[in-house]
Amino acid sequence: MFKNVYKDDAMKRAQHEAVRNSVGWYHFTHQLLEVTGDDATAFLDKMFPKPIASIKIGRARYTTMLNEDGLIIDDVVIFRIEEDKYWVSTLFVNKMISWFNAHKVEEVVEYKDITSNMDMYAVQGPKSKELLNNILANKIDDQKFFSIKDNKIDDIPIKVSRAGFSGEKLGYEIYVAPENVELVRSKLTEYGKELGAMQVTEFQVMVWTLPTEKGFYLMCDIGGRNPFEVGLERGIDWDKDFIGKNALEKVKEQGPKYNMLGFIVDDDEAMIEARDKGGPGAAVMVEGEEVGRVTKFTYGYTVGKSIGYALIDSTKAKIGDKVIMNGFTSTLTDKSFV
Amino acid sequence: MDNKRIPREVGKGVLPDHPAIKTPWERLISYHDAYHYVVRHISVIDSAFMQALRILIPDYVKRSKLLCEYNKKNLEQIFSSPYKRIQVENHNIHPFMEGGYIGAIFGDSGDERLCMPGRVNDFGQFRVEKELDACPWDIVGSEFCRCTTSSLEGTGVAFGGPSMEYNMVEAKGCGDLHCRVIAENRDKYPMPEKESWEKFGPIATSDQIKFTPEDKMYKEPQQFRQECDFKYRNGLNAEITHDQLYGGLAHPLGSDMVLNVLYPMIEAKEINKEEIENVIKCVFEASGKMTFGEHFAIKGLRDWLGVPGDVKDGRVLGGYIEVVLQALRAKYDIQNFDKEEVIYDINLAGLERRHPMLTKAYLSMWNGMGKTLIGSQWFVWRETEGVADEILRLKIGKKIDKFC
Repeated sequence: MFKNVYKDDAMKRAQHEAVRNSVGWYHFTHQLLEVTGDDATAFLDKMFPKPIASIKIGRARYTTMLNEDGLIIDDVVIFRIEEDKYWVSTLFVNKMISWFNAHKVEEVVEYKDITSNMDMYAVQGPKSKELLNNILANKIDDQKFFSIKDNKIDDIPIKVSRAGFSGEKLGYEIYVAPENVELVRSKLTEYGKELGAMQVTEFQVMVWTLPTEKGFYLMCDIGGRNPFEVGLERGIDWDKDFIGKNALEKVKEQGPKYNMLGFIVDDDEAMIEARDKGGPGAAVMVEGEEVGRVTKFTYGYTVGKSIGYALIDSTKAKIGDKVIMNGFTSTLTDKSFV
Repeated sequence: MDNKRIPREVGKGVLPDHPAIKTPWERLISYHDAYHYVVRHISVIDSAFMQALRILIPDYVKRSKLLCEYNKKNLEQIFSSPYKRIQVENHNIHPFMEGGYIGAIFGDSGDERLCMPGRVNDFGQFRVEKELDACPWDIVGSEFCRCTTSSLEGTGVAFGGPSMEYNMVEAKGCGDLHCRVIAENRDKYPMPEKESWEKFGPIATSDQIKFTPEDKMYKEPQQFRQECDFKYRNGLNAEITHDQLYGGLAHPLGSDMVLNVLYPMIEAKEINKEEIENVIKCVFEASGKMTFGEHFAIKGLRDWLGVPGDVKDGRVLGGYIEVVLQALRAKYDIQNFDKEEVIYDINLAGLERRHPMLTKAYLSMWNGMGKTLIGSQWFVWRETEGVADEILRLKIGKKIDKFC
């Protein structure tokens, strides 16, 4: 059969376990769209289904972005930097700008891509706070989840957000001007040694193995689905108007036709095609009938199994059912594994 | 049959229109068939260019080495230019991604575009595995497998970060069931150094290969599969539509990989241009003659184009050329189309796509085709008098040439 490209890979395992057990750090720059203007709040409230006006200054919120059919076209974190100044963290900034342009009417709002001004380093894991307290000018002991604050390393101004894509309770992101990246790297390396910190260098760990264990999504999982199908309807502000609301209200009434579920594969050497590597993903089969598609397939070092997500016809399979994917038996589960 | 060609507007709107190529006799070649045709057409043109290169550089190792090195460098340069930004956007490459593995992203979309369906089995900063189930380029030659692999490496170099050594450890053109490209980072997976042209392995991670059995192999690329919603999508959620993919076929990929070797040799005076042109002329003219050397090939073409039984002149070849031009989306005007002569004004840029030698190749091939398809009295040539530089006036007619 196929040798698992994760299970016996000591480097990937060490990087994954560093984040779970101590601290791991990595270059994780996303694109940032800065949105400003008197109508910035109202405009963003129109563009996103979750409430924006209620985000306090210095706090952040995760939300999807929908098209008129109520289908997800992006998922983002929105930081409120000032009263009328937001940062939208995305990986599809030019598409977002086009989308904003198409929907901007008379609002007093400006938006610009500031990605080139700001690199981001993720510092994730139970000892991340300790590590950062050792290198930051101001302690972050009281910093709350999904908050962003000004701070310094030596005399260099940075921003620290408590957030991350690893699913760790303690995880931070350092926003720093590109010219000061080396300072951040050197500090993390130097002060990380005594804490057993490790630099995560493998894309598969930062994007697949860590987030998947904790139920986190990539756009390959949720793109083109509605929030109900993928469990992202919580927190939608039904009292305001937003793009996709009418379509989504119908889904709310009728219930979603699909559910995003997790799965665990019994055979450690299984190979299953998934949308995270392109294409449509393997068909999920029950008694010879296709009941869904695999969106992600990876390995959970903490779980100790090959795991993934699949979008499943909600009338045909449920958590606990055995299904066949690419000839391998899997068990459908919740999509949060640890 | 009337000597006149039925004007295009006759019948228009009476029956449904179709996304298709139309022959002079109103035979439709569907979008699907045109796409597959043009991909294979590109491949046979590439094959002939490769034969020319084999004549010009007879030594296998030298030839392979030059193909690998020049094309690696070429792709590295292209992806170090503003073109990189466009392709980064088109493929949704994220700002935190860096490393040679990014080359594989472009390889993947290029594969599907060229009807080389398959799957990415592994994708990480230190190892990538891509398995292809079909390859219309499987006739070009093993040097080409080496060269395309090397060019992925060059693309990856432009993205900094951990480097990757790409190898095509299985190749359909060499008899394997699949093509299998595996890239490995040599810091993580050390191996003895190899020469630049040695692109078939060995590799360090052969125990991690994932093999798809024949009954589960794809026959069509994503843009022709319903399960893919008839478009290509990569793992970073970038979608490329069928029309964008078809547009990409206009690039003379393959031919240019051979020419990329020859241009610097001309410049360095290692070989002269006339010699290259002569070899290309000979190879392509012979290829053209061979295409219709068998009677069943003539019958097949006539059936394909819907040629009326009494048409046995330059129009048959003209009909074929029109299909090629439409498939390549090279614009042309019909100046004359009757049993005496056929004349087209072809947009030169659309045909040669920045490589004038491609035009010479086509002219030689079409001339060769005419000899066996319609008869030795027929010639294909370019007329230049009174014709704008950007137009290739192509004439199919009878003449006497004692030096042909």
